[in-house]
Amino acid sequence: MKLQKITPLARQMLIMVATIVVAMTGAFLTYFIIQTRQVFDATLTEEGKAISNSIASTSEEGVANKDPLFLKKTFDALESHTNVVFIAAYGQDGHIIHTASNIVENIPGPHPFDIARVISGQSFRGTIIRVGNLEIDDYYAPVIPTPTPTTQPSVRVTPTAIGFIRMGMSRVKISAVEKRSITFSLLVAAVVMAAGILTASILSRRLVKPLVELQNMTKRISEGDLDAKLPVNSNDEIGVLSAAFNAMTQALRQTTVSRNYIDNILTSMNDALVVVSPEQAIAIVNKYALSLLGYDTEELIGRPLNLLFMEYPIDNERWEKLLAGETLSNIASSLRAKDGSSIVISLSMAPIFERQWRFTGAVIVARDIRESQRLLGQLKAHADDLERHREVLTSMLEDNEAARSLVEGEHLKMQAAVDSMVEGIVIFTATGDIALINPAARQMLQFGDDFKLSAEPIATALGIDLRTLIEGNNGPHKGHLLHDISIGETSPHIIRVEGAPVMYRNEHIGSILVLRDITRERQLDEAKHELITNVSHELRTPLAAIANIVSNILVGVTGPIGDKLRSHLNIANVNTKRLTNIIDNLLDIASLDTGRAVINKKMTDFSKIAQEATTALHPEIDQKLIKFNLSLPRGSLVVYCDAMSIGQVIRNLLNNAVRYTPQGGSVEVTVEAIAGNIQVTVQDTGIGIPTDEQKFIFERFHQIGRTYGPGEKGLGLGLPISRQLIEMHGGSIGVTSMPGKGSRFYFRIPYPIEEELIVTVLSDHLKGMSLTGDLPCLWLFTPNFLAEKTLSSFDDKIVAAALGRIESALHFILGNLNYVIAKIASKNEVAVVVSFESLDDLERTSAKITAAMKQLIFDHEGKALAMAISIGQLVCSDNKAKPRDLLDTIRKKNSASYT
Amino acid sequence: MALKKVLVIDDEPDFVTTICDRLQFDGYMALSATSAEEAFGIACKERPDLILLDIMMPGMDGIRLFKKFRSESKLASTPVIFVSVRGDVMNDPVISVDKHCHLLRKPFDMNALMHIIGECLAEV
Repeated sequence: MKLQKITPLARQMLIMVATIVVAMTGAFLTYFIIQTRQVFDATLTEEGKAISNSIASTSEEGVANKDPLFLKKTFDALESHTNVVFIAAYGQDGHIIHTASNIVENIPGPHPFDIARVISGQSFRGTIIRVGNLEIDDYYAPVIPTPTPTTQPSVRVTPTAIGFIRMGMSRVKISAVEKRSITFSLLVAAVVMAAGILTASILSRRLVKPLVELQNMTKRISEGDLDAKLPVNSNDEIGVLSAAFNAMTQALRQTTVSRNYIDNILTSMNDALVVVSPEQAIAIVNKYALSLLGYDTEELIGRPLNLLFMEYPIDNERWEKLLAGETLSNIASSLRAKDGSSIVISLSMAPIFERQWRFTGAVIVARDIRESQRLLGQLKAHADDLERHREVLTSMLEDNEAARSLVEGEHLKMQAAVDSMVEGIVIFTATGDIALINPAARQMLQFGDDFKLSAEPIATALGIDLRTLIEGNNGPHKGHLLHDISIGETSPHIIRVEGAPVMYRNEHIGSILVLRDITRERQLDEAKHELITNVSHELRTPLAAIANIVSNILVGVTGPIGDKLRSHLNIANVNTKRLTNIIDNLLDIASLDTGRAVINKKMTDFSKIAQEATTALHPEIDQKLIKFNLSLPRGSLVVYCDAMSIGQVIRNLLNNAVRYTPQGGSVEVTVEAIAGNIQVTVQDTGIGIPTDEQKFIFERFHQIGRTYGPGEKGLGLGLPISRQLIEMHGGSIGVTSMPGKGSRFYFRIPYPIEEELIVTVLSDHLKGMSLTGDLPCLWLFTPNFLAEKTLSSFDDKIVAAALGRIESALHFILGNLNYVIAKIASKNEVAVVVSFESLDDLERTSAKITAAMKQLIFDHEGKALAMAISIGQLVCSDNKAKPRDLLDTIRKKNSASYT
Repeated sequence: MALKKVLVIDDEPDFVTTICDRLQFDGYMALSATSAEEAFGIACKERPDLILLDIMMPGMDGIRLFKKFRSESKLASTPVIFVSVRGDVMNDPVISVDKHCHLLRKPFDMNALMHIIGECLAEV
């Protein structure tokens, strides 16, 4: 039980209830005690009466005979009864006959009234006798003789007592009982009371609780907390009261809120508000009004309204209207501030009615319109501007619209233009998707109508790596590409694909490909080439015949000739040579132009080329008495190059040198290997080249200004052709010249050896794969010397010899094939690159090689050393593979198999 | 000293005549053939010291004939000078490694031809 403070009311209730409980308990208690006593008393009396009667009946004889001895016997038998204090038998006259106890002597004798009573036959209890502390009940029992049966039963005989017994029973028992019952009752009462008080306490509290709540809430409300709310727990009066209370507080809250709200409105209004009484005196004025006018509240309350106006606008007519219930609005007027200044306002007025009929005043709201008026003036001033602007904007919009449709039109036109192009356009985005593809491109790609356009298949069909396009400017070719590709199986077309990155504000946004169907051009090319070849043959043959014949005649085959004839024939000779030259150059250029000029690089004896090239010019050299020297490097010089092209270039340079060197001059040709290049220099002591013409001499159709000798002009194609041929080798050509002193022409071509050579060769083979359809194959041989010791324990000479042995074995096996062998001494390897026309050829050769390498023995200092040779073989099927990667792959395989 | 035999093989008679005239003038014994079959027969029989071979001939062309020569032991190392308008004969793998062959493109200077012939025969 919570020990709450017992509120006064609760205490009152508690006291009240407790009192009731106590009272009731007491009453009950008393009643109970009395009842118990009475009952007990009655029982006891009955018992006493019974006993006394019993004694009386048994004492009948004794009494009748007045025999004390008889009575003593009888009385002794009854001594056992504890409560019996005395027994006395009396006669009819009330004189004692006998008594067992001696107490009787101390007690008053029977009252005559009692005697009479008992003698009349009544058995009763008399008054209580007190002897000392003992209380004794005095019982009287008549001794009535037993009636003898009479002959007349119907006659009622009234028995008369012949004596009586007087018995005293102690009331101790009853007192004890009384005491016990009192004690018990008190106990019970106490319990009941306690319980009762407890219950009362609880109940009172419970009953009182809502009232206490109500009290608290009321206190809170009075303190201003309007959110107090009572819980409504029951449907009883308390509940109803709580509900009513809540309703009341709610109403109070709303009223307060409304009132606060209204107060806030009045306070925060940006207009002046004045409420006037029916007498047109100021009753309420809001904050704004006060600050606008410069008054304090006290100064205005009760004052007449017209105080606030420069000219009072509320005339009788208006006032009548208000009284009638009308609202007046938009009345222009001026307020008078405290300092006398005028404030232009616009006011509205409304009447206030109580209970809808009683006029209790009017509310006036006045708005300061000074600012508004000013703004209005400004607005009016700006209206024209706006109108003008509007017109401008409208025309701009029209222009915009026109521009937009123009752009759209242009866009559509451009679209139409792109669509009607003969060239195919494919535009990729920077992310590798298709942005645009025009009908021409679609047609060239030869995809069906139902083909879904997506970047991958289109790129593949065009032979493009999408990554290159995406890389754009970051890629190896800066996103530019140019190649021809054949599209279509049944009717193949050659499509030239030219790609470039699309840059927009320095950002790579995509790639554009232009596709041109050059099938027809190619066909024309073919036809041209055919023609050229034929023309070549047809022109050359007769020319050769003429030249030979003239030469023969000059030499004297036909017999001796005179000087005149000789000189004539010389002229003829010279001219045929010129014709030959011209035709050669023309055909060369034509050949180069058609892209047909293919240089065929092989391992060539460079010295031999140089020699042969110079041999052809010997006659002329001799004729001009020119001192000629050819200096070649020692030993053999085997270079990976196109013998014919190089020969042609050397001949060309030598030809020029001889031509432009006068009689008795000198021409020197030097071939040397320098810094990974082969350099050929043709130095003459001729007339040289003017400095301003030096940079042009390698350009087509440029002819050096002056001539030397009759008709030496030629077409000016020799040097450009030479340059092109050298550049096709990846080399460079140049000249230094001193006019009047001589010229030095030189060219360089790369001279890769060992690993570089293999890489270069492999690269060329891979490039040529798609054209020739051949299969390049790369072999790598490494001797291991497993039979004796490991390779590292042998010195370089032995290793070199071993590699040489492998090389010569390979030469023998590969014999007729187009192969390149290179020793890579630094890695103890011999590498071979061969292109095969068919897989069968490849496999046959491979078998031969493997067989040969197994049995390879080489001699060293008289000893035959067996070699274990690791053979790595790689067939190149991917023409995009990088040669160095291929080498590495083989090396890894080789070393794996070696261990 | 016996005269050196030079066999000229070309399908154009005029050319053959002109060359042979000059050869003779220069002191060689000139043999000629205007077709590959004829040439092979003469070559085997006469065993020339040098062969001048045109490539573009009807029937068997010069390159095949050359290879045929080389397969004959007698002619295995006979110097051969290809004379042709075509310059690409040296691209042939067999020919490019053959030590005893040369190319002279038509039209050539007769004197140059004689010069080369002289050198070839001198080598041998």
